[in-house]
Amino acid sequence: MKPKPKRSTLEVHVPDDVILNHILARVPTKSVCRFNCVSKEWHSFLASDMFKNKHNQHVDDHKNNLKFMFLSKTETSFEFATIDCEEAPPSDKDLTPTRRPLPPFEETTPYDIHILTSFHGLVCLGILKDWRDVEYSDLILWNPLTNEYKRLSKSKYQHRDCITLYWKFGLYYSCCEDYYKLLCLNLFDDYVYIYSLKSDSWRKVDAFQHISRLFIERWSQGTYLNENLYFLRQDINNQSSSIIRFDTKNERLSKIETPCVDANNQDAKFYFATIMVKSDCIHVCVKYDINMSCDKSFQRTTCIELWKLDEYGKMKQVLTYQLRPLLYDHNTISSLIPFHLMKNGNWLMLKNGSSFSNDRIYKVYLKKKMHITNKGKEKEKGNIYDDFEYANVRMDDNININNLAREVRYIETFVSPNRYMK
Amino acid sequence: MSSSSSSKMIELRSSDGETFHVEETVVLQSETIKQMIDDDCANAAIPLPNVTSMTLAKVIEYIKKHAEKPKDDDDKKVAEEDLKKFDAEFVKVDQESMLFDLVRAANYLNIKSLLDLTCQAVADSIKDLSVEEVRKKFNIQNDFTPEEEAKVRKENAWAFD
Repeated sequence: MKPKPKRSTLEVHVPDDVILNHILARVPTKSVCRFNCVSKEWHSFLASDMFKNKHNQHVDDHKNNLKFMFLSKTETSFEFATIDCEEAPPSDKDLTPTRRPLPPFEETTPYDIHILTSFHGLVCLGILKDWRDVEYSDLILWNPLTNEYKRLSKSKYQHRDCITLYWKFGLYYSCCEDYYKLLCLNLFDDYVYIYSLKSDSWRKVDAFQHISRLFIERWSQGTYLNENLYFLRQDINNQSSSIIRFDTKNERLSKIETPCVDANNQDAKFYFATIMVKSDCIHVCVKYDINMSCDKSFQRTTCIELWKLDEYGKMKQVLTYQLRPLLYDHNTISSLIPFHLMKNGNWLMLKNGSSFSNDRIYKVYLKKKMHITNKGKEKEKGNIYDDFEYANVRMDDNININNLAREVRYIETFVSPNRYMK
Repeated sequence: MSSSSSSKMIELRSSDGETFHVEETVVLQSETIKQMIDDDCANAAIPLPNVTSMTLAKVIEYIKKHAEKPKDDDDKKVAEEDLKKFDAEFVKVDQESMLFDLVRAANYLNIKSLLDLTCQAVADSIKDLSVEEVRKKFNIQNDFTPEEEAKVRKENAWAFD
């Protein structure tokens, strides 16, 4: 036993056991990595599986450190990077992302990589080896923090000429079994495939049943909350969306209707919906443009509505914003899709459809807040903002962020994709 | 509290000799005291030689609040919110030594929810500290050689931004 570092008797101190086992398990991953340098004892303790398992138990407490991960692809290389969703630099400054190492690919660098979903610090990647590939040649579970990764066993169902477009993914954790599982919805053959990380095997489940589908739909990745995975599906023609919920306990899918754009506003344009978790509830954010009467003339207005899925399975509107940007600036705000409501009330938004540009991510600062009530019997119209600004996430000029399956919400953990192999 | 007449009172004595009378139902949140009561060691005042009267008063304030039972479901929601607010305020102490005292007391008395709450508060207060500041705070001697430390720093370089 090495001699213990001396402590002054006057100072109150916390027992070593409490510091190591209770306090360090609660600091964010970045601090853990820094604290490796405190002493030899801390260094070896923080590297132990025991510590990592303890830290993982608090994974839900780290929700505060939500990050947004994206993949930038150039002709010759890939680069992963993250931004901190709550980090708020001065509004006149650009945000700089943190670069992440690439997964240690065993063979040659793939032709393309898709970020399929992420949960508890694990990121699921779909690999396309060759430019001719239309289906994933490999699925990988990767922890970007520890850079551990696992290639998932090939499923006999995987080779059904099902192109990547028809797969939707969601990762989840089954508490009672202590399993991480990957849910794959196949929108082509209407089956659900479940991969278990523990047994490294696949199972086919007939879960769709009464859920009818159309091909002109946009599906989100799965979002996990309280033993359910939620997918948002958007009908682009009808300007409507619905939530498809997968119950991880009985492995059934069910549908929850979400609100349409106000029926009076037939001329609504640029409809987008996103799903997110806020204050332990599923929220759907809907954004569209309408023409609104204002002083006897019409003005293009961007509306953002936030709806909450309450405990009875009903959608309830919790927030409305109306943005009235300057005319020359309207195209920017119209093309932005909200994906994160920051604690300070500002939004993180993604630019839609700019497939070859590096100005994908914006922070939208809502500066002026005026609550107005329209005259007469018209209902209250919510908060109107006519002064707001953006900060762009600036990257090197040679970086392209494409919005096709190359981004995900992410939190850092020490969860190992190889946790069952030890 | 209305139930105080029906519940048995337990006497606790702090390290500086002050005595506190607390209902048994409230004090059972401490696994350590529960064990003493189960072992029939609680006939006289229970001595707590590791806890000062100031800290013990705070701990009792905490367990009393956490022993309150909501009347119905509507009340339950309000009570949950109320408890969250109470917890957030509870760990906002002026002196850091007080927070450390509470951590030690929660650990000694084995009150899990209080240990969780106070450890999270300490974790929040140290997460942005530098390596040197952490050593100073917990009085830890750096036993790395400069070369060893440089190596570990390099391995974790991204965490030093």
